[in-house]
Amino acid sequence: MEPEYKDLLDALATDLAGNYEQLVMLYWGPLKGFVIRRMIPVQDAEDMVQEIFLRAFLDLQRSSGLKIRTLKLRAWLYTIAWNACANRLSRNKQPVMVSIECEEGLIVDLEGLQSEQPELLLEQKERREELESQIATLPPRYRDVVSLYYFEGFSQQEIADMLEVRVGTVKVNVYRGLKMLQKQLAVQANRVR
Amino acid sequence: MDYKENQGNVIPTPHEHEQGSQDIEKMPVAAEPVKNILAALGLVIPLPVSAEQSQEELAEALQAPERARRVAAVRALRQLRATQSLPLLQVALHHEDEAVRAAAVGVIGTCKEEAPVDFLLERLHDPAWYVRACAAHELGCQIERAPVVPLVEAMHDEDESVRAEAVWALGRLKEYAPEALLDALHDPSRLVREAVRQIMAQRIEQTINDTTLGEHTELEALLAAERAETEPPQEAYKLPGKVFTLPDSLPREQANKRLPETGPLAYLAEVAKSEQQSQWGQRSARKREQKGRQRTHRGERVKVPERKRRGYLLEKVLLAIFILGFGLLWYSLDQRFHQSSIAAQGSLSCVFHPGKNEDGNVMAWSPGKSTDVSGLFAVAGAGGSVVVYDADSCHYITTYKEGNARTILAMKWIVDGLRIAFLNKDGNIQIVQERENVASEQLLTIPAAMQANVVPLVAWSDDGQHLAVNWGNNLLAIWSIQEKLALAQYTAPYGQISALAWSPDSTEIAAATFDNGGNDGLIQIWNVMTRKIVAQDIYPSAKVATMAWSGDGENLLFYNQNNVIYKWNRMTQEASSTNTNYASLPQSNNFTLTLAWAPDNTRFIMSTDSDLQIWNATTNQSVMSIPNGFTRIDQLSWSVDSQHIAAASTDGTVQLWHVSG
Repeated sequence: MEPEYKDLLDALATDLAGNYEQLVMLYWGPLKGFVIRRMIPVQDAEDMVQEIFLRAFLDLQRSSGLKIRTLKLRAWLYTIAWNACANRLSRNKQPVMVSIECEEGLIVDLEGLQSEQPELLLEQKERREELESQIATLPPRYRDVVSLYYFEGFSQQEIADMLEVRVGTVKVNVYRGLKMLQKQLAVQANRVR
Repeated sequence: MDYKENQGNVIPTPHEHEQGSQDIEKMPVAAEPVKNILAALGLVIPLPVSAEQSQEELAEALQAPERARRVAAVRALRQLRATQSLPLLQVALHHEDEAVRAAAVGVIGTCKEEAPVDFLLERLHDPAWYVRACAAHELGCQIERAPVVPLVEAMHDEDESVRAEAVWALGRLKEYAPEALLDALHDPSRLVREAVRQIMAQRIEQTINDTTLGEHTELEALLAAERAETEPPQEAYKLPGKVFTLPDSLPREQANKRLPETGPLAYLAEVAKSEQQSQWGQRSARKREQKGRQRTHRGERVKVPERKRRGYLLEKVLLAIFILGFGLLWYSLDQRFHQSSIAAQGSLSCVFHPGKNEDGNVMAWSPGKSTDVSGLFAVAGAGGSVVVYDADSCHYITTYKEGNARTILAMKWIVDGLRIAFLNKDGNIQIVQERENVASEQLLTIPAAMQANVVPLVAWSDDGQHLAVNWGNNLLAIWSIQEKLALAQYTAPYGQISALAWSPDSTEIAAATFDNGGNDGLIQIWNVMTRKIVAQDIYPSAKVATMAWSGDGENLLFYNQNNVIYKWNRMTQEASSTNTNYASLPQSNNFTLTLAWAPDNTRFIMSTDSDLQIWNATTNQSVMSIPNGFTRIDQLSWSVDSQHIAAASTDGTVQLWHVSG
């Protein structure tokens, strides 16, 4: 269990309807970013986030207090989001990554740049965008795990639970995806020279 | 980090170490979308309701532009009495905003004993997945009143959340359906499988709490036996919310001998056992993995003896076979018991919700068992659609959508397909033939008669080759589907034709005529081939609403709106038994009784305003009565094997009853 959410989980287990707003407030922004990066059009993103919260509420409503208290909140919520995105895009097609350059994330980043070290952050942002565009070209099975591991910050166990695969598979795919990415970046660097 | 300190405008960063998620998690919370989400969930404060103007105010608020206000208005309906809130609830249930519909479903769910379950069942077919899920959830709260079959159907919904809610609801009902829950364990969605596990665990816990001392000991013995076999750690006996300990007074050897042979408790225990085993399996696998790692670190490789490994595998295989065999045995015993109870008293097999056809219910059964479409049942639904179900399994099969249809008029299932006669939007009758995975075949278009606004009275001959058509006058045209023309025309001497019935051999048609001008009612039986009247009978002036031939074509039952049932016999050429009331006929004038004669000729069924009554055709004795429930039945149809009866009610639902003699 994530210790920082213990209070929230306790509150949800005690009074789901009364405390659900806190969960929505906490995760509305992150989930919107998540669904946008999964190629859900920006204009549909808020509907998508709403759908995620509706599904999450139903799930919690069915669950016992004990289960809610021991929930891995973030992984559970993102699993619902992942499935909802996958269903929305296509039943057969996995969601693909897109660069956040043209999405809302850019606005957020630019807001952040004003207050901190602008050059450094701009450079970091460019690197990240470049990396994301490279990741988007990877085969789906590598692309998903690499993105979830490095950009969404999930552990390998969480990714395994989310994608319903074994941890070993996640490890292998992260490793192979990185190798493939290194090759692509090396080729690109040679071209630039 | 304490989330409570950060409930202002900026979302906190739950994982600050995660580089990638920092940007987006700093996004400011938009108040409006959050409000919308909470409104969609019904998490708004209900509007205050004043005594006098409450209904008008709430009706107005239901149409407010803000979702939160609309939902608050629905939630306020809880404060009204059921009679006051029902009209507004019905408006809310058909509101264009799915959040309003979902909130209305929630309000119905809180009505406790008075909750109109039919409304919830109807919402199981809502176009919005969330409303369907809420309806399933609320049905789960009506543990004594909610029917099993619609929830089993909802377990095949396209949306995983709806399926999960249906599983949860089904697991809570008093009438338990373990086989359906077991099926759901194979659902492709983990969410649904998880819901099955949860509800089974809850069910087990409940059973343990509710059972008598003897049964309790039985389960403990079973668990003790399991303990003796596998020696798992003590905490492995924890079921959700309950910890088991083996009674000291119960020796292990004795416990081993007290395995139950059958019964629901044992079955549940089996499920619990397999669940626990899977947990123990995972735990021990993890331990083995850890041990293996430690040994690798030390550089020692410990080889597990091959014999021991095989023994362990064999043990698991035997255990799996035992559980599987036990489950199958229990299932087959349960099915046999179920079948025998059905045969003895008649039983509801399925409930379908195809929606409402514009001008009354229309149904058709597929031909007998020798054909490849046997056991299918078609019913006209909403918007010119025809929905096909498997009557044996209650599963949905397909929907045929007639694009230009205003209303479905009649259907006949022949070996080559389903023939559908419908009134199109131009006022013509169109006849098509449908077959699964084959494009719709246009057979014939019958142009509208002069009275373009009339919904015609039509009837298929039993062989599906002819269609009798009446346009609200005294003329009856017989159309040949094969030759695509009107073969013959019957003209009633006066009045207007009110009911039609083809004889079972498709050579004769009975037409009932009703005259507002004071003439008596008249039934004439007309031979389609010779174009001659073969018999006729006069009855007191009242409209005949329904007629039904016996399977051998020797008797014709008809009912007129004087509340009398007549039985006309071909041999005597008389409508006898006019003084015999077959049923407790309704007193209300606006009620129309329906009749259907079983194809095997032994029984007929009629719907009254309170029940369905099945009568022995030979002895004229009532042999079965089935309560109607909430709604009126306006169509009845026997299956070809005379084992099932389909009863379509005015609310658009169809019930299938198993009524073997």
